[in-house]
Amino acid sequence: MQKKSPLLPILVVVAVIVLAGLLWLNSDITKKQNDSVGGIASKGFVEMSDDNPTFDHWGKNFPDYLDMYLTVENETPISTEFGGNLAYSKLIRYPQLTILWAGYPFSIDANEERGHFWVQVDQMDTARNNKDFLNAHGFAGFGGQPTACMNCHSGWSPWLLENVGIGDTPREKWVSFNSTKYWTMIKNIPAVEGIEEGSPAHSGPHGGKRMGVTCADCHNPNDMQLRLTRQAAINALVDFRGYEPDPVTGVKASREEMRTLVCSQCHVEYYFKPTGEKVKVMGESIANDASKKWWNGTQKTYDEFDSWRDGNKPTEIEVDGIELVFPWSAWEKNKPFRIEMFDDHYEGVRAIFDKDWEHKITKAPMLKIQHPESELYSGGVHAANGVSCADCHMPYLRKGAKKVTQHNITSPLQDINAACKSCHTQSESYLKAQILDIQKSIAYDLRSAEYATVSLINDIKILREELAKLPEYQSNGKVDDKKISETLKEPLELHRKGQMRGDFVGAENSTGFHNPREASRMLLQAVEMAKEGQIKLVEIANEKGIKNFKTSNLGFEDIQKLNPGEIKYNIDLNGNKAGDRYYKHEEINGPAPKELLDLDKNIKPYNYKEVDSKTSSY
Amino acid sequence: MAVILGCLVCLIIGVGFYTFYNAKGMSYFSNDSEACNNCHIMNDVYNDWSRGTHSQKIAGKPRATCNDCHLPHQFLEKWVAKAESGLGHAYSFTFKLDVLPTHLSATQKSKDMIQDNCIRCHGDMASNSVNATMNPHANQALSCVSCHAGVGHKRGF
Repeated sequence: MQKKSPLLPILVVVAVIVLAGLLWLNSDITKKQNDSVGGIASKGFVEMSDDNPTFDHWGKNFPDYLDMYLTVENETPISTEFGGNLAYSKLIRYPQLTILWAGYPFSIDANEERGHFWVQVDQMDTARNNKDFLNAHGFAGFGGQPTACMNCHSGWSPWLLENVGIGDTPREKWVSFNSTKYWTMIKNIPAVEGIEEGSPAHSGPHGGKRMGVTCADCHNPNDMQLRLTRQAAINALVDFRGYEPDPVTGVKASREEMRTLVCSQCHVEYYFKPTGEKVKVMGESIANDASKKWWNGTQKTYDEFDSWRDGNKPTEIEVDGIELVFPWSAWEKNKPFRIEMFDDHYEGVRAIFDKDWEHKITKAPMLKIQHPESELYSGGVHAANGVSCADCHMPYLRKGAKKVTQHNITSPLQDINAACKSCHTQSESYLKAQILDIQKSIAYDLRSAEYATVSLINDIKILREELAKLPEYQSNGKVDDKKISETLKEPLELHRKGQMRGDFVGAENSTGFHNPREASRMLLQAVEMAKEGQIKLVEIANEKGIKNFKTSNLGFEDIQKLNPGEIKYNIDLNGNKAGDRYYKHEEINGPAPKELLDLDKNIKPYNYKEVDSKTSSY
Repeated sequence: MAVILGCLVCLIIGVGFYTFYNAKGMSYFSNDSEACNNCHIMNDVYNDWSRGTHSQKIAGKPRATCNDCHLPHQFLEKWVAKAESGLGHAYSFTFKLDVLPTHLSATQKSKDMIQDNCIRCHGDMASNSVNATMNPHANQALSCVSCHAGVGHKRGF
């Protein structure tokens, strides 16, 4: 018998592998060809409505978009030089903020934000929303956050406004919704998608009480066209800026405008304006239970928990009405925003809303500016060329054969190719360098403004102490703070207006990129105002015969000494021991990456040898 | 064993032909711009081109197809370039689709081919213009598309 050739079986195996490869290639070709046909999954289409706005439900019709949106849930957070979604403590990176915001809850907890998915989780976790913690850490007068805070944080807000707000007119419901306690409102979120009432899932971010922004916040359920759902945005656009209301889309606007306006529902400066009237809102029966007390012994009026428990029931109470308002009365349609427009608006409402808080050290009436991206962007070169927010933050991508809009909304720096190169043909490294150059320049201006303002605060503090020693500022053996404030009126106003300008750029999430010229213009004003304030202090000191009064000029090293460290419990509280970390998750509120601190150290004063030699690390 | 191998080889030939047919293989031997649009990455560019001046038809044929600008015109060079990019594209499209950037950038090789082709058709016109900046040996020399950027299709598609 002839010996079998070993070649034959090998050839058979090779042939089988080749065949399998060919079959796979075939199916891959067919799959990719089919890809280009559909945008929406046609099978198992579910009906979408405002009664179930969850992304888990709507996402069944748009699985690709849901996948993109949920990326941030599991990805490792990424930091960029001045942004990103790593939730480090801003107070540790920029310790000057603890002095700038002294007396306001932001001075104990402010971290880098981490995306739309987490916004409600973070709002419920923050120390700023923990009344016992605040009471125990020097904020005993704090009444607890109102639902007005929740306007932008939950995809359930429009449903809650409609169903929990009390009143006969939309306006009454609106004020009632805003004036309800935050922790009372959160208890009313219905259980949908097979979630059991009061279960851990019901407390979670997928459809439940910790669900952040969702599809329905920007899209209409019937045809998915863009719409505004936040009443404060609609009010501001209609009352102040000449837009017409629309029952479906909120306001009448072109699609191009809508690609910016849906973001402007929340990425704006705002304040809670007292309406001057009592309104009916939902309360909690715990207010009548004398055994339920806060840490400092005062009666609890609400349970700081996300569902009804221990026999606590909804009741109806009357409270002072507040309303969420955007300060846009001086900002006309199709005009670039200018910081002086906020001055004009806040001067105009000063009789009913004179301050966000009184500064703990200087006693100046302060304004806290919050993420005014829409305002700053409106006057920038991109806006002037018709570029919308979505063009850069939600660029078009190819997904399989489909053209989709990026719904993992993040820094455009994470995908410069998609975000910038539709218009800019230069290389990615060139574009990155341009952005970083702008941001480093604005960061220099911002640090200058912040350090100058902290120096002013420091000097006001010293002069207050000096003035307090004079007999004319004492009545009945006590220091008359009001009288001192009266004498210091000019520097205190300069503190208010100058700090507001630095705060504007600090709270605006682009480090000036959205409009570098306007950002540096207002920061120059901020530095000017702080220095002007110091000159006034010297004049007052001279006038009052105070000798040896000198102004200060604090720098990076002085400021670093103010580093508050991680948030810890100062006392035993709610089962936590003194010294325990406030945040349970390590990734939140830790120090910023070391490279960032090295960068900051060289920014002010501007050490060009170091700063300009570095290219972007992201 | 030999019989099995024979059957397998026949199957491979059969499936191979079908795969070739399914992938519209023959179209890649043509000059038709639609062949480039088989791959949906080209959808936007193809649309741009369709609306542009180069796609206008004269005597039933477009003034310039994708190949007219993107491939050399000498017989051997054309087919070598075609085979090279064809293989590259097939590989990327099969295995690298998810990591391809949204906006593609031309390689130097591609830029050179395009420049040659601009001159091939528009040489008479171009020779009348002052073109001191177009010295190909100069550092960062300008090319025709440096200024006439949107002529074939919008850049940075």
